[in-house]
Amino acid sequence: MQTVKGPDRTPEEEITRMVNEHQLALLRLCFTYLHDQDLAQDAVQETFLKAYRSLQAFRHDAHEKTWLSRIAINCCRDLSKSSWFKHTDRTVTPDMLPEPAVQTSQEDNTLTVEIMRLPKRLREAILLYYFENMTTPEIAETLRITQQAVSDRLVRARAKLRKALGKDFEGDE
Amino acid sequence: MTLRKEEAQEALARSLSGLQEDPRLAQRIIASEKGEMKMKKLPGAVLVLAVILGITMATALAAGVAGIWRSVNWFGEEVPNEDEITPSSTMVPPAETTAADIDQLVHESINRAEARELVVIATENSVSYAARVQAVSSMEEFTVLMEMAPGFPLPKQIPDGYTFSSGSIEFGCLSGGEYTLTCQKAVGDGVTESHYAVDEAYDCILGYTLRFTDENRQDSMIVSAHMQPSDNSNDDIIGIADNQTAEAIRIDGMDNSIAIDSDTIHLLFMRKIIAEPISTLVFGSSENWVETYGEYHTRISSGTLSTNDLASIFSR
Repeated sequence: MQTVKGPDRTPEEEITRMVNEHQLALLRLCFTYLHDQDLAQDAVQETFLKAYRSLQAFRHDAHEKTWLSRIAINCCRDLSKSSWFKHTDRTVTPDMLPEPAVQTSQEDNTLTVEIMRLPKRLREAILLYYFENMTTPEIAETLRITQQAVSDRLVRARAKLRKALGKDFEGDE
Repeated sequence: MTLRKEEAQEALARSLSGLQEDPRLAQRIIASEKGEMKMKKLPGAVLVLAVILGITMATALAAGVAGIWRSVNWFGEEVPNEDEITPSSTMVPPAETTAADIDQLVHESINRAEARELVVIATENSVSYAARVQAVSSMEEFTVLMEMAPGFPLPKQIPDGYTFSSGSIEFGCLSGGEYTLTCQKAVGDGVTESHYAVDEAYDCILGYTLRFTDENRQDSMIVSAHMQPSDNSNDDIIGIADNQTAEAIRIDGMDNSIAIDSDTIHLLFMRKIIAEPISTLVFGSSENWVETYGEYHTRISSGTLSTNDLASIFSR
């Protein structure tokens, strides 16, 4: 069977497709990282801007989601380094979560809050694993760390979550 | 009970189902790149009110200017670059504000605050606060105040030619104490200023910053030390710029020390474990929480003094 390559998209079509496919997932990733809806939207906007500017250089040797997630994580890190961010109260409580559009349980919110309370590096690994459904090698590529470091962070994160929630978390790395 | 990956994904998705996509995001990005539209910053993100008293600049100086960063651990070993810091983010940019008057309000409130008062500025979308800080006007005053924190690493001697320029001590509240609201007022459109005090029996020192200057060589030496949480998985590496070298060295009284050198700046980072961790009550806008500190981290920077000279400041 011969593979037929589809028509090339213009950069405008390409970024529009990316935004349509990945905006929501990145928004959730950024919100859980930054604990703030407005900042998360800023980070997502910045992510796609950078992606648009780098479309020519993106050689598709990395998975598109991995590439966008890496840009998003870096945007979140940049925002979280600002002096304003450091000295703004970031206490994570359930009332920080946006009003849900579907029915949720207290357990759902407790899980989300506890993930948001994790130290930054552990949170990154857990979000990419559960939210972005990435494998350990993909997370390693996204965060530019070793696979062993990813496994270590996931183990530590699960231990903290187990302590907070009284539940074990399945892992397959 | 084990939570399966799919269950966790679904729980997270439900919990955050209220986050809304921006239907015009792609259009704005394309238009912006064509110069047709200026990208907007959303209101909440530009309500910037925090004030940090000298520590951010000291940190930025210590971190080096521009250049791509590498990372070293406390043994001087280079580690995989986990924090991709691009040149645009090495220097913390000035905070953007929605209006200059809000920024002005913050500075005015800080200037009005009593020593060691916690000042909290709240708007509809965010809460920011200035640390409980007391300025010191001399090394003698600094030394007397630091007697309440006998374990804190302190400079033992000051290099010839350098004189005290300014200093500040940051205070926390020991676990068991409380933050008492002493004053609250509206200071602008939707902006509230609150002042909190702590019973001095529960005062504890979280850190300090000292600045010394040598006018002959036009150099500043900045010494800052701060307690770090025991379980601090974010701070076990040090970023160094591409033009800097890092070497683990031994300094009496410290558990780990790293000397970082370049042509333009010399830095010393030191770590000392606190024998008995200290628990403090951290102020939160909705709920205070307990933080336990297990280490002291100290940084000294100078444009002129070598790292050997800097090390001698803390040596016994």
